[in-house]
Amino acid sequence: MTEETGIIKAVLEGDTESFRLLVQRYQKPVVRMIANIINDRHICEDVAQEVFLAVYKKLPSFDPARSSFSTWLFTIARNKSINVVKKRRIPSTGNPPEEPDFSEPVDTLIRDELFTKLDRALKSLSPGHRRTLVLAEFENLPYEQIAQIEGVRIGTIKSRINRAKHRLRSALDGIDGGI
Amino acid sequence: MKNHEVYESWRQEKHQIDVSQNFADQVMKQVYQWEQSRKSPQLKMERLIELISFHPLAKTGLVAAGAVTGIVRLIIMIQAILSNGVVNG
Repeated sequence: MTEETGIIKAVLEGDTESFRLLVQRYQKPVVRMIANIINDRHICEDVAQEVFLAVYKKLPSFDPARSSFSTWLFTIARNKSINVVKKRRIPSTGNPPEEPDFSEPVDTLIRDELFTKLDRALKSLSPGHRRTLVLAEFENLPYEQIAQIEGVRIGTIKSRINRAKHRLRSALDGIDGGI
Repeated sequence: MKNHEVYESWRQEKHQIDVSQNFADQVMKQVYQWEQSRKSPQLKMERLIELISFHPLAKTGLVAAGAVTGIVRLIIMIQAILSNGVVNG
């Protein structure tokens, strides 16, 4: 029995406080994933809290034979993010990227400008492509796990990532080297 | 700065995020509040909706009941229309 399975078992047996260990372990990736999907750093923690509460409520239905806890948790976070985007009608363009501060050194200004371009390209992706890229590139999840979370085949995940990277590459046109 | 270097440093920046120090406390507060409401003897409407939404069988039952009600109503309506048609015709 893994340490995580032991924690889940303890929670299910009535040791509610043990759930804190799971929250502490996954709070950062879940908040980060939501922030990058919904493109709003102000509400991402509220949404993440809702995710953890939903996880606690649904914990009796978690089946370790079907998926790992992290896959199950990320799937709930993914679904919640989709609902938030739909409900609040957050536009795909999201928050405007921060404008470069012209008092900074030239290198930093160029870097900021390129980051702004990448941010815009990321925001212009379709929700599916964006989610897939976030899970693969920012969360470093394996394709198999992403496919489980998204409920699609690995081939679809690879294709989404290729397309998303192509869009990001286009945003950096004119700069040497490849992504 | 090359393309892949820009991308890598952007990726690193996206990977960094600060979570409030009391985040876990906030979650646990909500968890305990929910546990409290669950233990309360009154079965509130919210709890009933939650129970239905978290149990696939309950959801299926509810949808089936709705479908049966709809079909019964449809049959009654058709019967009424046909009987009116017979009376009038």
